[in-house]
Amino acid sequence: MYRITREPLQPQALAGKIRNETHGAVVTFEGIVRGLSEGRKVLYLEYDAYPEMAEGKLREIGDEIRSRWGVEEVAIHHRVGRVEVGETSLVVVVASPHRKEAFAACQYAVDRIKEIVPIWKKEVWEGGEEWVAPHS
Amino acid sequence: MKVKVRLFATYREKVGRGELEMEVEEGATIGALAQRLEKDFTQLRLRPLIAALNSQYVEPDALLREGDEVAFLPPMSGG
Repeated sequence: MYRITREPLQPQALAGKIRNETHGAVVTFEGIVRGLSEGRKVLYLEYDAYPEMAEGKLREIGDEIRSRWGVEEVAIHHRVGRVEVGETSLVVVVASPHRKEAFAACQYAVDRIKEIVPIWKKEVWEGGEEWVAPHS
Repeated sequence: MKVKVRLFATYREKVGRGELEMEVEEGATIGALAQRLEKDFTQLRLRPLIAALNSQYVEPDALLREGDEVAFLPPMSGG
């Protein structure tokens, strides 16, 4: 349920895997590679990760949102390597009996991923490239 | 004693590889190892110093032991 992978992500399949009849709400967040960044036309992103640690941190975030919001199921997949504009780099799926908790837990998980999971992205545009500095 | 060092993203590119084996003295800290690396690779600046010891975040005063895996992590930008 917590994976760092070089393969294309499959949000619907992942959501389908964790939902069951006790869940009144399944929230799926997809992070998509934007074609424009600060006015520059992005060609693609290159993600690097410390995979063993990153998967552990994704699990920690999953455990945290389960206990804090009482959500029942969590799945988080992050893609690494080259990811093209328009492709999905991150999928977070949260399933719970009620929507309020699922929305809140999913939003928190995405914010937390950006803070504590050792993953980095490099933007590649025509004529240059740069590792992205974190911002909120 | 020997420790394994792992570098990622911009740090990896500055050094030219993602894994190094370093010889350190008994009782050496993560901070001391970072200084050594910055001295050996003058283009490398491990700032802000974010480090993991065997996949757990640690402070710069954490002590190293034989066979440890130390990772120096640039500020993260996943998502």
